[in-house]
Amino acid sequence: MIPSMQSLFARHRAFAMVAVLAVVALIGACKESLDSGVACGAAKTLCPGQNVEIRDTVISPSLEFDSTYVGFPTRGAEFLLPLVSVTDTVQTVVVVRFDSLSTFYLPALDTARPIIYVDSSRIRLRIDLTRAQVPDSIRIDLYDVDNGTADDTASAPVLARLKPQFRIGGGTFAKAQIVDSLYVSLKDSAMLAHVRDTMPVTRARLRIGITVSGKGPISFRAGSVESGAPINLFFRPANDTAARALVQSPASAGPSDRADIRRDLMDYMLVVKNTLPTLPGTMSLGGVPGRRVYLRFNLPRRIIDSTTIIRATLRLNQVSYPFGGAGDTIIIHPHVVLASDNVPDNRRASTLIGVTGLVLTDSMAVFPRESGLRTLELYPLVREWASQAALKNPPARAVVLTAGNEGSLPRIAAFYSATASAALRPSVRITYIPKITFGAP
Amino acid sequence: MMRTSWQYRLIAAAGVCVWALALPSAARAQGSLGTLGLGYPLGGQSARSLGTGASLADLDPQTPINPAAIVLNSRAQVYGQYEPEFRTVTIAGVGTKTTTSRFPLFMLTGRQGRATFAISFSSFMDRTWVNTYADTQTVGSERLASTVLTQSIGGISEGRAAMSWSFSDNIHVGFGLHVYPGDNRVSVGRIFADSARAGNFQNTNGYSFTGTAISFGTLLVPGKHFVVASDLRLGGSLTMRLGDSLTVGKGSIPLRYGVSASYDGIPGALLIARFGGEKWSDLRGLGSSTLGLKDGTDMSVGTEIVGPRISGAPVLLRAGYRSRGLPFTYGSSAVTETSSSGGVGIPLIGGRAVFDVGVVHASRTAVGIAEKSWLISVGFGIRP
Repeated sequence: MIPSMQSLFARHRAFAMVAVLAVVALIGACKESLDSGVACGAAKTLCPGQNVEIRDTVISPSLEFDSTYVGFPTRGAEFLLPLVSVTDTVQTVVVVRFDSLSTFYLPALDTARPIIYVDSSRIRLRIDLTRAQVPDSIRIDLYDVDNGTADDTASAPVLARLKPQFRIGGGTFAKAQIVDSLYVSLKDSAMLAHVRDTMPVTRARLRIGITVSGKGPISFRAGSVESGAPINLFFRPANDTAARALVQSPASAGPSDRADIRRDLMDYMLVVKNTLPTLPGTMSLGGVPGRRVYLRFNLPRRIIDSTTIIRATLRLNQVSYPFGGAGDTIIIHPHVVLASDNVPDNRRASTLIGVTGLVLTDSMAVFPRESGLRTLELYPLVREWASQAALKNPPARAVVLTAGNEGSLPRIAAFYSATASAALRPSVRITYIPKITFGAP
Repeated sequence: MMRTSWQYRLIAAAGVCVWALALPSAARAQGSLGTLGLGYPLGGQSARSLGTGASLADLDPQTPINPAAIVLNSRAQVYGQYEPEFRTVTIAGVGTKTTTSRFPLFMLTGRQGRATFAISFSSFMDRTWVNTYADTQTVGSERLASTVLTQSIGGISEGRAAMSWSFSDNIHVGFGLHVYPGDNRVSVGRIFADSARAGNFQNTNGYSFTGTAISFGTLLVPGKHFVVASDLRLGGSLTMRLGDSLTVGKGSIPLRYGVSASYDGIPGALLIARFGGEKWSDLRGLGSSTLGLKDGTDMSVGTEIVGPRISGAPVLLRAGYRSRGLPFTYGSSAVTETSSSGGVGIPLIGGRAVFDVGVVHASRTAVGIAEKSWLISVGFGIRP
């Protein structure tokens, strides 16, 4: 430091300290800290005008229309295959195709030999007991459902073969045996006949229909190709105890020109019987085959497009459905419809939907036999609709409701539809902030 | 060792400061948060004026209140100011501290013959705050827990072009043209604890302000040791718009008046007193109809004492006390602000530059609410 500056500071130490204090204070103020929210929390009168008006309204009618569509998931797309039997009401059959049976086997240290003998024929079911109903004992019947045609995709010929003369296996099982894997015996003679079948169409193929029956409602699910736990076929190809059993996986040879359908038909479910009633003036979802509901909304654009939506609650009035146990539940999920109005087929549109949890995260659990007001929160989607208003082809302002485990549980939930009276039809309760002046003191 | 005269004056000034700083707690002043309504009225006071409790407002050339006062600038000057405020609001024993940084004043002055000119830009009202607090909100049929997020940034500024004319060494008059541009962005939002049932939101409105006013001032030297100055501002319209088009309020720039008198008969000391007022009710029409407005008076006393010299130029020590009415009521109660202040003016480069520091301790209180504020004002002026 130069001498003159030293003497200057020596003489004016007090003012140097003032300057230092000022600099320290200014540095301390460089980082602003503006939040005085604690004071507002303690005395809201200190913070007037720091809120906005929130309005609440119930819009009814809120739907342009609603539709219930049946047949979900599509045939062959089942993740789990429902085996259902409810006396005089619902009966399903699970069909699994083995269209590529082995006709040769390979003994140890030997060359391949044609199969001329089989024993220990059986299938293995991987069972899912989630929400299952299993009485003390159940009977499982296996039918030969191959009607002998080449590219058979029709259901009726399959259902026509669920008769005693086509029964090729089965058994009765105690409840305790119905666990994660269940082996069901198959007649060895039937198995051998199919292995040795040399007819051009039916050569080396076996198509099995599986049904369940027993005292009381039965409902459980078997794994499928889609779930990675398909029904497999086992048989021992020789009268030699040292011969290892062959394992056959599902395979479909037809239709030859549609690989996608061939894949679907490796295993699938058909409804043999369904006499559940359709309640007039209602929409319903769940059941076997699965139903889903398409809701097209007609909400006032002056609210949806030009306000801030805080909450949008879909209010549905449930109708007691006369089927199922008192403890049965259905989980209902709302889905975003991705199809625009350029898809006029609403059934098709009801398949063009977002996955569960996309935009809409709410769900509800209902007891089918109960009734009353049920709600689903839709605000994230309603906000999306507002932001999509400027799009050339925005998605339809619609929601699809599906049942959890769709198409695999015989449970149906019904709600009053848009055609019901004003007090019962669906409505939407919207809480919103209008575009008004706020922030002025 | 004999004490020098400035050392005695320093001790005296320190005594004034201690007396002044002790006043707020003794005065049991009433007040509330300064950011109510359209914001805190900074008043365009320079660091020098703040150091004297704003008693110098009509006599200080760097304070854009009295257009005649710019004549006191001996030559051209550029002046800027930085002014952080450290505020503590205490309610039921719970205190909240905030820090607000401001650059509230910038001024250019120059002289040509008997005329002196100045243009300045200052903060008229500062409406900057952030509040975050827990609250419940009825949404549909339920009350949901939420966190409120509110924020206001901006305020109203004041631009002034002023001219003073010196009829003689003892008589000076001034005239000012004022414009009041403003921008204030207010955000209101909520974050709900249960995001499955209600959607968070944050809405922002941007307000703009435009206003005009004219002002007159005098600066008279009636006697050897007396100076008397006065100012009068006549407000024009003040318009508040949402965005840049929708008019949401119309009022007027408040009428302002003030008289300052100084006495320098005591060697090395200047004693000042000021009385003024603002007709804040002229703002009626801006904001809601329930916005509480109260006309306020502004009284202050202060002193400026010559201290030691640096490079031949004197250091100035300042102290003051001020009591004024704030424009916006807390409920139906008027709000007053009392403040004690001190400051120092340090000449640099042989007087060609000045470094002013003003420290203000303000107190605003209301029923159950106490607000204390430290305001540090640092001004720097260059006379090329």
